[in-house]
Amino acid sequence: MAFGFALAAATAAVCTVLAVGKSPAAALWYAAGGYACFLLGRIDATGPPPAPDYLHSGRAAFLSLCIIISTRFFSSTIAVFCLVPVLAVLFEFYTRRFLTLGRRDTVLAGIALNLLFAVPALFMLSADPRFDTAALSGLLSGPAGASIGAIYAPAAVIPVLVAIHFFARRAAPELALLSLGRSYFQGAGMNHERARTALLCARGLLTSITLLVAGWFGGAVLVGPAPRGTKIGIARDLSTLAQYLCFAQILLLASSLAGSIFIAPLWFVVTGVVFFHKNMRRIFPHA
Amino acid sequence: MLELRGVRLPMGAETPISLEFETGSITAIIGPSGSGKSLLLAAVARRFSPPGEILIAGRSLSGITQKEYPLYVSYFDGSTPADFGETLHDFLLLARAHMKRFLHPFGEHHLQAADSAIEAFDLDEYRSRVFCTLPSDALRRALIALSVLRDSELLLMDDPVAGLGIHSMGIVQRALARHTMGGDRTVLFASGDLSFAAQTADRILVMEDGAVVEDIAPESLDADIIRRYFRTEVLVSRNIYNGRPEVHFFPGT
Repeated sequence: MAFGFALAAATAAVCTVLAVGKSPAAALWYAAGGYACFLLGRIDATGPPPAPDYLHSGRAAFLSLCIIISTRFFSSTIAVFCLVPVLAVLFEFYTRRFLTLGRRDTVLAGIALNLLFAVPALFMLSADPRFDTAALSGLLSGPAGASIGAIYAPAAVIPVLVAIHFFARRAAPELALLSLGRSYFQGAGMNHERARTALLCARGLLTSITLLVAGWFGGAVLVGPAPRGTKIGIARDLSTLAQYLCFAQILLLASSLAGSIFIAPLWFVVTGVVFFHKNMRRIFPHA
Repeated sequence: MLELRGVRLPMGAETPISLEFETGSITAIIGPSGSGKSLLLAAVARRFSPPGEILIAGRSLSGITQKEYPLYVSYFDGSTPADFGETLHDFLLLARAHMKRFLHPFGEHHLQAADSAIEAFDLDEYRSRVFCTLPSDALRRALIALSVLRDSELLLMDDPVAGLGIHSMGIVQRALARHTMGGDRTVLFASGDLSFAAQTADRILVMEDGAVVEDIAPESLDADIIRRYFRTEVLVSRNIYNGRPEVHFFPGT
């Protein structure tokens, strides 16, 4: 029943998006973005909650800066699309392996990275007359917001996401064990180092796909239903996915009507308030 | 089942530890705080590698692969996973992860084993409750249930009854007896509760400064031994059903 409602809502959202003049490719881009958000939530559920999402952990800001800088060096969009996943994986390894940031430090680092992103973005917007605001808009709302008409790219991304989803469903017990910690995982006869490396790669890959496809609106992970559990039924899983798709299309609609430069910061603030309201005590226990 | 040959713990004891543990036995390690009880268990659990040799079922511990390890050893160290959001039943099911094929679901017999563990540890009322919301006593019982449910040949437990109420202590005692009943499973546990150790184990090892200083039958545990190694005056009575020692403090001492 829940799946039916969510699917109907997602379909209605897609139709509305198409009705306001967006191309079918835009709807498909956002479907892929919603799917990537959902899977990122699945992967993040292997860590103890709250897992700061990719907006508030600063991952989106870091990758956005990488995109801005790399577009200055590479004129090819494909080169940038190939570089970003690599940088996302390196970022995961640096913060989780080398710095081994806890949730409090992740949030503090995220605030610093977001400020770092905001300063050059605002500078470029206000001070540099050559700066293209449409490029920044595309960065915030993803290719759909930037009206990229190519339908083959999201069509290619969706099978990759389906494969990751299938794997995450089958590996649910192993992922749950991983969330229990090293001693439990190794106690079950599995190699913790190898599993953690694979998980960091998957997280980096999904973060980059989410940013490249849904832009900063990928923060849907934060307010979406928590996709935790080892025995999630297929109906509940599809229902959750449909909710993400619906949500992504609504964000696209909002960005079409009000402009992504307005919606993205608003979205960032709203999700930030929700995140801190839910998790203040866990991140700052003595506050 | 388990053999320690010249194992030296980092306390620098003169005599290394050389012991054999029979299959199907329950051995308790007691001793004052810092005597090396937990370290000895941690060494067998491969948390660190002390000098000497540790053999399990005739195989060197270092020669056992990561994949084979849970078939031989299950280790309860009392650590609680933070914020685990699964139900108790799903949590216990994870104990059988090493028995299922990678990326395959749990079989019916694993589900039944988890059900049996819930029943044996009197956790039925918490079956569908989220694990991290369990009361502390039930949570500890669940952690012990998980290590028993692994069904490894050697079960290592570090202070299993610390903080448990009398009801839970009885449950754990019966569970350990049932676990070794078939004669093919061995239990080695460290305990600060001397009465529990004497009531549960077939053999008691007393440790001091990283060395095993006494190797006795539970019936032999008396006030002299406790005074010598724990520097505490106690009264030792006998359980009227099995004649085993029960340790009591003198009021006001």
